[in-house]
Amino acid sequence: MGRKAKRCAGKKDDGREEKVAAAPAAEGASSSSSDGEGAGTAATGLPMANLVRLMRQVIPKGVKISSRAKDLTHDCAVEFVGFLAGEASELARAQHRRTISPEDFTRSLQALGFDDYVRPMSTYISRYREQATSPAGYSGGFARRPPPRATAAPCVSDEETRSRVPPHGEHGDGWRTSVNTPAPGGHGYDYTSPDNM
Amino acid sequence: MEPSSQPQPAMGVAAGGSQVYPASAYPPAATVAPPAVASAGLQSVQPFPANPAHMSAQHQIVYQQAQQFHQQLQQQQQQQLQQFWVERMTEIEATADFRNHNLPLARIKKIMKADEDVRMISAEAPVVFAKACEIFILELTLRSWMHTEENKRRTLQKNDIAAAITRTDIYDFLVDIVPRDEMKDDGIGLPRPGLPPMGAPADAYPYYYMPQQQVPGPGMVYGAQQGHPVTYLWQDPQEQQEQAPEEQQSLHERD
Repeated sequence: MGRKAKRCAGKKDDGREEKVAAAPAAEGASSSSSDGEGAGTAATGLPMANLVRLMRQVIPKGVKISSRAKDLTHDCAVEFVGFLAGEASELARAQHRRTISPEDFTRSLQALGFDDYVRPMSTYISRYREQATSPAGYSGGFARRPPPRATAAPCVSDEETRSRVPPHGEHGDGWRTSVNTPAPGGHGYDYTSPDNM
Repeated sequence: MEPSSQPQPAMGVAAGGSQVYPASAYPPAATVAPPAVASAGLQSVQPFPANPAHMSAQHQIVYQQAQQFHQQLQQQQQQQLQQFWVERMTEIEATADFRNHNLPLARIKKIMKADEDVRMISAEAPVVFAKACEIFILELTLRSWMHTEENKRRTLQKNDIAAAITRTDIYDFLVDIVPRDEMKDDGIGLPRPGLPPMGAPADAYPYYYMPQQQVPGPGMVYGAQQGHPVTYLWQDPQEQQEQAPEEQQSLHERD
């Protein structure tokens, strides 16, 4: 329960995080959250068309999606972004930084148990930075955070690593990809480098 | 993948007639083992609500068939999730254009900023958050669709999403978003004599303990982590093992 304890300690919405809280308190927190969510959705929502297009990618053709299902998925997606942003913000602040970086994001994924996301997202960050170094790259991102010198691991290497490295090693591999530092194996990841750059 | 061993103490005791209403915690070994039923399983948790003392042979057969059906269903869903993550990696490795996103970055940034604790965001962060949000929507929809399939429907409904949230441990931060009445619609396809109150969610879905008996091979642990539909209060042994790496990571960050 260390993971959940950490979450409870850091979050303002303790009523929601503490499962052992009494039912009335949970109800109160739920109502408050619901009100806030309602107001939040109006101001910070996602386009429903984009959302439905994504949903249809993973279900067979001809399947219908009820309107209430679309609305609930939308609310969950908004909550997901806010949830991760809050955690990433805390991680950045813990290291006395005021700007949330992609590394804070991948660490928040791991801290909150989204282990399956860590490797795809770390790869995505690496590839995004590769194209950012091209002449037509994203100048803002480049100015704020120069990409690391090392190149990302090739696809073949990823495939080999996935089949050989044990579960924990796979997590390490994800983090290694994050910092673009190739390592033979084991605990090769080092999160100090990105911060020093 | 290794097949799941079936817990049989409840049936053994009930069939033998040695107890009319057994205690909630069954002994690890059954006192009576009917010839048609395998010996006691690894877990003493009762997968179904208490059955009448004298269970007929026909009920035993139906019970076994139901268990086999659900084991196959769990394996199939686990494979679907593994395939999902393989496809995500393939898609990301093939990404060439990072400017067109399925979700608008301005909206993502607004959502991030809605939290007062979030002050400054790097220019790269919304791009990454948008991609993760996209994957989240895909995964949630896939898990919801699994529930739709179990109920033989062709329309994905709100209660399917509620069921996916209930079954997935890492989705417990969404519990407050789902109305309570949607939780009650979480049907499995097997009839149950009524749902217990939400005060004891772990007891409300006793059947979900069964998938924990599956032990995926070493090479499939990564993908299988999300494959087991467990209640959001269930403490998965794998997660307990993951505490140590997390702590090491935490210590490392402090250096």
